[in-house]
Amino acid sequence: MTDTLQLNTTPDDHRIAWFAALAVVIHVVESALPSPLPGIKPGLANVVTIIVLCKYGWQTAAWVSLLRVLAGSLILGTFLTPTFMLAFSGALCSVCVLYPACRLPGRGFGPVGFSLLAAMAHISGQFFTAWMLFIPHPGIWQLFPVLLSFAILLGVINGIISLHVLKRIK
Amino acid sequence: MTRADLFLLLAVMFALPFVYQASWHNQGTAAQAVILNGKHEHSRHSLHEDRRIEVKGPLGPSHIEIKQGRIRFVDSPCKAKVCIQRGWIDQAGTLNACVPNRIAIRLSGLHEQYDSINY
Repeated sequence: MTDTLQLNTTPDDHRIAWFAALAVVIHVVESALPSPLPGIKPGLANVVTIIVLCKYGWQTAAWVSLLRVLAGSLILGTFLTPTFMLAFSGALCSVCVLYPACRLPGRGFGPVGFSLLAAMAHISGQFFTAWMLFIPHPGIWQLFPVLLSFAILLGVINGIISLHVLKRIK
Repeated sequence: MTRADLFLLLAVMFALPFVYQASWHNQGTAAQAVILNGKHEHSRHSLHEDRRIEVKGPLGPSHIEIKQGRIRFVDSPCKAKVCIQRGWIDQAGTLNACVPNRIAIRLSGLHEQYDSINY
């Protein structure tokens, strides 16, 4: 007699898994692209997070975002390396900032606002982690405004992409 | 784009120059200077004591001056004199070097022990 272990999954779980899988693919493909400047990445996988946030709410988006970083790091072989710590702290920060942002009264933020906030939180979280764990030198903050500028630019671009995708899947 | 998006974007664009200013102009004044000669540390000096230091490099002696918490190259036997043109430096974490003569000045704050950790 064998007991089979039965995991009861909800439609929500399936949705999270599918979206996380999609985000992981984008994450892995993007990591193969050369970057013009170290530290700058388009972060297209976050488009998935923003779309999920707008359509299914914060909780699903948080799952998708953090699972994407975890699964992506396992595929790329960077799990628990500094790369992973930076990516994870960035994603964690974004998710934390998006929580109050999607609970604003009225119309609140749209995809562009969410993406911009998430991008800025992401780079700030990464810098803080880098400073605390890897490069405890005040000089690192000289790079911060430069990368923040790129984060703002790419955050807005990702937001606009999300906006267009959301319009089409409505 | 919603109104909140636009407002956020404008606020961010407005704040960005201040972030640049805060990170690039407020490193804190340095407490001490480390003078490097080639790969080796030549000497360390507090920036609170005014003095002149002579360091012998491969090209000849370079003269460095400390005055009122700042430090500069006064004279160096290099051709381009880039190190002298840099003028006074006083921010923690800054570097000035006479590359042809292999002499560098590094300013540090009080608590700085290392500048990078690698795993």
